[in-house]
Amino acid sequence: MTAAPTGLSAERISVSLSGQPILSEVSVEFARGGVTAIVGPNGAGKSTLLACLAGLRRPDGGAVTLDGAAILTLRPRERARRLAFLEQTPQVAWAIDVRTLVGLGRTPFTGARGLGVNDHSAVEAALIRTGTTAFADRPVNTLSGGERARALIARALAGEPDWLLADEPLTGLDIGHQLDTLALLRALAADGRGVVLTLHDLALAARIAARVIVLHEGRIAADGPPSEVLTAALLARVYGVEAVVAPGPGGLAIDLVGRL
Amino acid sequence: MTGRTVAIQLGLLILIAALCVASLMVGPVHVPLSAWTDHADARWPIILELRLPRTILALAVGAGLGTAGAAMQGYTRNPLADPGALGVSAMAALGAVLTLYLGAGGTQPWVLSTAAMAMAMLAVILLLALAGVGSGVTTFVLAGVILQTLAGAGVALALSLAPNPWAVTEIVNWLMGSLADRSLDEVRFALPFIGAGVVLILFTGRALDALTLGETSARSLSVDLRVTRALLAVGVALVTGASVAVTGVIGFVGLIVPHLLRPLVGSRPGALLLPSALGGAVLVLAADVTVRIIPSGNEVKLGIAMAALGGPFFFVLLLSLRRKLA
Repeated sequence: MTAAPTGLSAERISVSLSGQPILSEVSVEFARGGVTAIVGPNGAGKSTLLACLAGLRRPDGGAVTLDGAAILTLRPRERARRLAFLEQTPQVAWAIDVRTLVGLGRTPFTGARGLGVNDHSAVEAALIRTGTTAFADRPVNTLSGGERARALIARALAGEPDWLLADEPLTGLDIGHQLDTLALLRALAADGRGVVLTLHDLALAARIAARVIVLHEGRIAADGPPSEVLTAALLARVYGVEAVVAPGPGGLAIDLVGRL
Repeated sequence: MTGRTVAIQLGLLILIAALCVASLMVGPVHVPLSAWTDHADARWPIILELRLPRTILALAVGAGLGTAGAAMQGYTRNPLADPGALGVSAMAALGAVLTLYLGAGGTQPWVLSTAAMAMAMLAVILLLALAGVGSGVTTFVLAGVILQTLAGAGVALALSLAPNPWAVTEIVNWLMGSLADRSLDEVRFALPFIGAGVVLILFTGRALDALTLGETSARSLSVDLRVTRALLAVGVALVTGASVAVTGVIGFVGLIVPHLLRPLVGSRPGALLLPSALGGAVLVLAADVTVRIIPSGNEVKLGIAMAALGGPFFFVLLLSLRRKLA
């Protein structure tokens, strides 16, 4: 097998939706301990790829492997304990408090009896790690966008996963809270987790990720360190825009000139 | 928080006990506590054969409908969901009315109940198919309206084609929902189904909690939604079908009770199930005692009393929801 024993990998996965190819034979491997950003234009297949990697979607062809085992053959609880998934713009339906929300992250460990001692200590640890302890007793619907984003990450963290997959985790945040959230995600990766994100903003992707994967029409158009991947030529080819890309103090400065 | 939930459940249990005493005492004939222990008392049969079945049925139907409402709200993440509001009760009633119309309901009680439960099941399946998980408030209410309309049309058809005035009276009386003149036979018949339905629904608690985060997140947290859906469809159908079969349509229980109790248990849908069972029992028993106290020639039908209470409640709930959504 080509899959690393402790890694997350996709091997030639394809997905099509009512005849339209969404992903075409995408192969990619991830290692723990770093942040990878998946970028690409609308409809490039970013969210679909992430859902396949999370074991939530069965690809029409190919397979996703988690630590050497096909992810779809893992028991759901086993998979959920190792890998946490944050969906795009998650909704929290009821006015539960933050601690209860974070406790939902323990679902893969709980039965009918609810949270046990271990679960409660994992929840408290997740609250502390994300700096959400101060508002742990507040209902989620009273939080600001930034607080909410951290609480949702705490929810994912409560399951003590090795892998954290997040679909557009910065949606709806102002730039300050975007940077806070990215810093938190990077710190979680530095703890030894594998963090894979889809992102819209290329400059932010360049800033957070050691590795950027560009998806274009269901295929990987580029894969590597941001400074090598996000070039003017690639932006022209994939996004159809003319841009000036230069090293900047925060990573890359991408100045859009116009549409090609 | 769990301590608070326990306290609420204890409080509801005390209320239930008090209401049981009242329910056995109150009615056209007042039966004081002193007559309870004396089996030779002329009023003893009233307790045993009239008030006791009525009390047990009120508790069971209330608990069932309360649980079903709480679970449907949790599953749809929609505070307007309830077997009554979404047409499940109406479909169950249609099933029962059809057997009354065909004349089979009177002769074989299980025919009517089975038809009610089957139609309730069909209604839940149609609801899930029409609206699906996580659709907006509007889709669900519209799906409910469709079911209500279908069921209403079916019942109207049965009434207009009824072979004799006696059948019409029977159908109309039964549709209005009441606990009066029920026997222990009906208790024996309904209790196992309602009980089984409630137990099935209680198993969905963990999944309902996770569904707070939406369908995808729940799946990512290892919840198997197919199991949840199956438990819920069968559980709600058993509860609603069996309840409607013995008491006719008693609406709004599943709407009102979870809504009132939700803030008290910290809004977690799984934590709301058991309190809603107890709260439903309290509400239906209290309403049934009330209709017996109201001075009127004929006893006010319980279904009508609940609708009179629930209609305005539904209205206020909708207004507050609209304010929240706006």
